[in-house]
Amino acid sequence: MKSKSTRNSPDSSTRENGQNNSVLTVRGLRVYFFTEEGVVKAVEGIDLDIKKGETLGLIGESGSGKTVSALSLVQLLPIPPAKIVGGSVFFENTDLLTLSDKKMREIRGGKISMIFQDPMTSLNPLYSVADQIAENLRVHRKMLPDEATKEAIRMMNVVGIPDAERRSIEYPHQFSGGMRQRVMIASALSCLPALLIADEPTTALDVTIQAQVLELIEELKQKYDTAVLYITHNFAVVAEIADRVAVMYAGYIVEEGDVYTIFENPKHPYTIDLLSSIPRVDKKLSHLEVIRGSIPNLITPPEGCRFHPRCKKVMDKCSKVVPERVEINERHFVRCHLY
Amino acid sequence: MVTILEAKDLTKKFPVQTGIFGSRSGSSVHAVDEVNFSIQKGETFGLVGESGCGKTTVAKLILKLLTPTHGTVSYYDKDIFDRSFPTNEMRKKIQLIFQDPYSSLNPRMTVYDIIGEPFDIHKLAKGEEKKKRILEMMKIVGLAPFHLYRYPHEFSGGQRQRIVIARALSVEPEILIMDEPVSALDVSVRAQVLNLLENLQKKFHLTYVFISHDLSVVRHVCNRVAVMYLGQIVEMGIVNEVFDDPLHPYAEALLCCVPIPDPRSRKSREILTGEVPTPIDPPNYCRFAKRCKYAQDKCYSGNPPLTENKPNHWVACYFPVNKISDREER
Repeated sequence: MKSKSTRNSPDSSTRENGQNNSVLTVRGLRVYFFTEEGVVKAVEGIDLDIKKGETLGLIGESGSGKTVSALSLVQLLPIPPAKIVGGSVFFENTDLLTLSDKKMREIRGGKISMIFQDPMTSLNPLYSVADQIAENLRVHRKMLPDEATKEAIRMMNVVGIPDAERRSIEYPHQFSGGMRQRVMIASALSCLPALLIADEPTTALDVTIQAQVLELIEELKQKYDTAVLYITHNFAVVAEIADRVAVMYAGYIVEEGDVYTIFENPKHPYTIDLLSSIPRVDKKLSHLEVIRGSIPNLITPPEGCRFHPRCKKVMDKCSKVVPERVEINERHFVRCHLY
Repeated sequence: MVTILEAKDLTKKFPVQTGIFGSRSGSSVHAVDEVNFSIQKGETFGLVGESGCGKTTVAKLILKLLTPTHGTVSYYDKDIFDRSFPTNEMRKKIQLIFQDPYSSLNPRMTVYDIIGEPFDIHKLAKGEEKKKRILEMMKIVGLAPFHLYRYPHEFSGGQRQRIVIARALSVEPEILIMDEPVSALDVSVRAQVLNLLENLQKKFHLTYVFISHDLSVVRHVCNRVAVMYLGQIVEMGIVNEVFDDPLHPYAEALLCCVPIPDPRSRKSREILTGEVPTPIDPPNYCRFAKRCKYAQDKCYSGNPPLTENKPNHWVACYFPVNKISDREER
């Protein structure tokens, strides 16, 4: 069973997050990119809450702003052209957006760690894998080199790398894609983070390896009670791993709720259509729903609701007014004029 | 039913080169090994498997872009590797759609040039006639006439894939070989392209060879499917039969790993451990034996041939999974 603690009474206050065991509270985060062609309004005021031991699946198509949101939480965006133009990111009662670079470096990799899509580009080809995991431990947990290497090997065992002791001196190119991703996970979890941000960690992997990695993340999450922000474009993966789901479209979170609500009782037309447009492996669907058009350009996004040109239930109001975030059920939020 | 394409004992080995001067080491990558299948006119035949299983090599062999080490491919009972075979004629009849519409379109050519090029190559039409036919193709795949003189960068991924499809269809082919045609597309656009492909098949009586690692998409579009593992077909049959009652332990494990978009179907599943081994000099026994949970001594004695276990359902395994007896055991 999923943890019942996720069903707390809704709490919209930002600063009292110590009481409702929220690990991360994001309010009104806006990120723009100032480019030569114009201002790209990549993230337009998103709100997120992730509790201890909870997995939030952040789902969206390419260009919806999911990765930009995640990178801005840990201030990894290139500034300029990117700029965080508004909002707050509370993590353990401090606003990460106000921290100095030095303070942020202490948190990043320590209390908040990340796994990216392509493990080959996130690992340094010139250091052995154990050295890379150990570096984290030396910096954040102030371990001595020998102790750190020993712990690195232990972590490699924890994430299921066979023959960890011998393989610890090998280099990333000697590992397969799935094993590299395990090294990344070992490194990310080595400092027992309170929050793990996983950005499409299985997209580059084969299904059998994906299943192994998903199970590993789930297992480690249970073991260490880590909060996970899992970013993906794949609804099936979200159904597999998430407790709560936030659906992003063109810089907005258009719908958010627990995983059963989103899959069984979606309210936003985008979520509804998207869910009926995906083929399934367990049964053949007679018809795939089509969402007309394609994702908008975020330099000149549509006025009002950004989904309105593609929406089947579009009304006059939709092209004029940006819909507010409304709570239609307990912890089920929608941004749509229908509600 | 007319057999339009047939592969017999199709094998492709690539020599492994080592050293600075590429001296041959004697080992070889068995990319495709003794593959047999036949494709009927009008059907959609799926080839599935994990990366490195040889599905793209099979496509290249069918297209005569590679020469097999041994074995044949016949197109209407004619060996395509025979010297007297009219290759140019065949190239008109068998067209290809690649995964990435960003790299399969020349950025310096307009839509007019891209879709028009096959007309020039095969000397089918020119001048006004050519333009008329290009516009017709664009209409069929859902592009507007004002797109005619635009360049690929002005289009979204889904629209680019439509251009690729229009180019492939411009020479009135019989067979479309599609290598991961929707894998690079966004979810909301993927359904548009899948539906388009389905409509085109009906309209032009096309035969599709659909190569994908995405089993959900394969289930949706294919009639028959072949599951490949390390260069060999391990199971082949009607898509619903293979997906609902897989006979090969690898097919069973692979299908079990695919996540389903339904949180209630979440289950603790038996996950295949380990990884696909290297295709360099594979063992001469069942290639899946070492990862197989049902493996017995016999599995290490020889390579199981692809045999017909049920009507039209083929499997290469000495001990096929039998769902019914499994259930009784429980």
